[in-house]
Amino acid sequence: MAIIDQHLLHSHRSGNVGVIHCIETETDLDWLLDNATAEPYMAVIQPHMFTREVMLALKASGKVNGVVLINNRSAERPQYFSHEDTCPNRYSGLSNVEQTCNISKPWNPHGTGLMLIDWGFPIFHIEHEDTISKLYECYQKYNAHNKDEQLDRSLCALEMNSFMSAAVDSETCIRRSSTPTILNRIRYCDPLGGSNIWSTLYPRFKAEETNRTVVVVAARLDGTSMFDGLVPGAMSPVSGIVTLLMTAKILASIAQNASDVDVHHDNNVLFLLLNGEAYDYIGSSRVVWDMKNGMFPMKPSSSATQEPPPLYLHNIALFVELGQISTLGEKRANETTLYFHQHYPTSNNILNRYRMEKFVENMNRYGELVGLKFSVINDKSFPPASLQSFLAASSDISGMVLADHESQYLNTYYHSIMDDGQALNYSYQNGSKPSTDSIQKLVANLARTLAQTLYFYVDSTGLRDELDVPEPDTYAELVDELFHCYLDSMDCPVFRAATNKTNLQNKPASLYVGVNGWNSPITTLTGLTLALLVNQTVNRTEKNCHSDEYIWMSNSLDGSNSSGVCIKTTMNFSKAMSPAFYDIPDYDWSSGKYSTWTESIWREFTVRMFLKPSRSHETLTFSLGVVVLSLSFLIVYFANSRSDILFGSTLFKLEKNSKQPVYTSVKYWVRLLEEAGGGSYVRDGVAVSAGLHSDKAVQLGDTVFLPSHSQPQVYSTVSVECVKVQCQQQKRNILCPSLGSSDGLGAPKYSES
Amino acid sequence: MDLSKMKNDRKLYLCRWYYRAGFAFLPFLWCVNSIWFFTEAFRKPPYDEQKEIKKYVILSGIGTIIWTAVLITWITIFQLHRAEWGEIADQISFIIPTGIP
Repeated sequence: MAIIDQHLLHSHRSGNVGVIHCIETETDLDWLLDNATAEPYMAVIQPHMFTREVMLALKASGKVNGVVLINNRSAERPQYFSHEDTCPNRYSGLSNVEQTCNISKPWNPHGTGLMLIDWGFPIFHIEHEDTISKLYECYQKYNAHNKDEQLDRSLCALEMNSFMSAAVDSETCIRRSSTPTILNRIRYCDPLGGSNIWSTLYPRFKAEETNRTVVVVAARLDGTSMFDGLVPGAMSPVSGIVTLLMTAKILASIAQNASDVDVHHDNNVLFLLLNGEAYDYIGSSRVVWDMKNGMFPMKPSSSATQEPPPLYLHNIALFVELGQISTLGEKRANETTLYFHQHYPTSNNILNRYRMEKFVENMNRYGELVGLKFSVINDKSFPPASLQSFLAASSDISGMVLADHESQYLNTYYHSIMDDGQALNYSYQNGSKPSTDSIQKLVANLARTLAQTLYFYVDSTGLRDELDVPEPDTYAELVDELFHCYLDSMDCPVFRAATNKTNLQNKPASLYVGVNGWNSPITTLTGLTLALLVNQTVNRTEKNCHSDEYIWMSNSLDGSNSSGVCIKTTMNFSKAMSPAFYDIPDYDWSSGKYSTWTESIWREFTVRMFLKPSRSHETLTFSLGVVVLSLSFLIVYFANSRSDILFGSTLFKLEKNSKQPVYTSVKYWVRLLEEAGGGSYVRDGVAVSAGLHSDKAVQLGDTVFLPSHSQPQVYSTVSVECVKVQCQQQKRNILCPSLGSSDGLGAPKYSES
Repeated sequence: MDLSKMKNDRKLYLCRWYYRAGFAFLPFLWCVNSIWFFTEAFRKPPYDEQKEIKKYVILSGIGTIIWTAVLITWITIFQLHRAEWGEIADQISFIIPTGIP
């Protein structure tokens, strides 16, 4: 488990370069493996060739320096595209206790596990059509013809840059990041993590008894994929998140209509959105750890009497987890079947069994009205779910996972870049009524059924068939809006209202958990949306609306020109961070008890395409460079040794025309006559001594170097009229006798050497 | 400092102190000493202090060679085995490189 999140891209420090080779068929692959000569290559692959076999063959060949996955959105999708393990989270959760994944019939049968392999070369994803066509164009023009003679010509090549700082494994990089060295402190990697979102149906009171029970309604908040920033996660986790949000909303409205929100209840409902579950249950294992240590939902402060008592594992009466929900399952006679997965040893406990039976019975009773059927699967195998963390800590928890699948996922794009709205058969209705077999309708019906059942569970004062719940159509429209926010664009009415902002990032949400200390935008948005949907408005001004319990939000769902309202909420965030890193001293990293995923620090990713010259061309260029370098050294040497002769014309020999003493001078002031443009004038110039040692006495008649005024390299038009010498030691100027006359432009008193 | 302008007793003084200071784990001083005074010790026409200067130059030279051998050995061993030594190697590293084990 202590593997670095190295699945995508680790390039050399200065980038990986390779010749482009497009692999579209087996023939292309075989050619690359057997006949290719101009290695290293960059394999350009379409999604249908991005399989385990092809990738492993490329890795084993050693000829490949990187892989580019071309994902043309308009092209037809492969039927299966999941790079997660066949048994997701194989080594965590209940796996410490028993094997819950049937190897011969795994949960994610089409999972290639590519995500978990250390490739040693970067894998990039390109979906921009313009870039794709340029890439193909270049390949066709330079590389595709006469492939066996590639070495003799220039080839189209790619350079990929994705340098990662971390190395070895999480333990090593965390140790290195936290060991202070004298010279510098570099961070090599960050633990994965973020925030869980929790909320309760009824506010919890300060003096609450510690034996109160809660029904936990949980869903996971994160997904993953092989590529940074491309985690659409439609079926997992978005379908679960939206179902949970809707359930919370409907349940809250039932409770508000029954106006029992502020009354004390023996049972409460705890909504949990757990983060980092895709990486060995970071969020849920943290909640379990917090609960065991009496730190959930928050660490008791010194004034503990002011806070509700912490929740422990034994406070959980029932745990219902919402897994993947979709319409992909078989549908018989207008009835959709969903499955409750139970962990079989739990059902040995009579009380637990009764509780769960009762719950499913009620689900079926309410669900029948909207065409939902619920079956219980009580099997040795148990799907990867947050509930596993809880069951691993206490087998006495009665818990169930609700999902669309039986023993194998219906989602063939699990944890991949293609698990998006299209895979979920979702299309935005924008206010119009979603059709009866749409995912929106299914989620709305499910949420309603679940909310009714939950309310019946927590407030079982009598059977309430006449519960005042609006028709699911309004809910289906809201579900439509929620899916729109997650799958199409975060700049959507619900998120705008929740954040009270007029515009947000206009792109689909990415549901990667992120690293500890940084909350992914979707975590914050989901938390606020939960608070908004549960929506208990209180009469407070914006100024007074800032404490743990209150949030200022927009009061209209489209977010436009609203003055905002104050919402009282129980929604809050808790840490979703594996306790292995900073909380457990001397954690045994090999124990596999907690998630130890880390993400390496990386610089930005870059790719560039260029024409790589042929070998002979490269050799020629290099040899030419060497020749030019040697020549330049030779020339400089000769010029230096023969400078007297070469630059003779620019040197002046000053005449000894006076009886001036010998000066230890560095400066000669020379009056010049420049004959330029027909006229003539006089100026003072500075002559720099040349060819003389500075500590040697200089006399008139010595050779000095005299630059011209306008063109420093030209000397032929300069004539020296008179010389004065500035004596540095004596700090005074000595003028030559003839300088006094203004028209004394006599014959130049110099001779060329 | 220009040795050509220096008096002979001054040269000896300098050479001696470079030699002595080298014992404070400063091999580079010995290295400098042996090169700097090499001409004085072996090339210049004989003078009174030359014999002693020669002695210090030779001793500094030997010290330099020993130090070089020790350092090269250690650096080679360390670089070859740093990755496999793990935590201990990290603890005795000033700078831990990025991107490689």
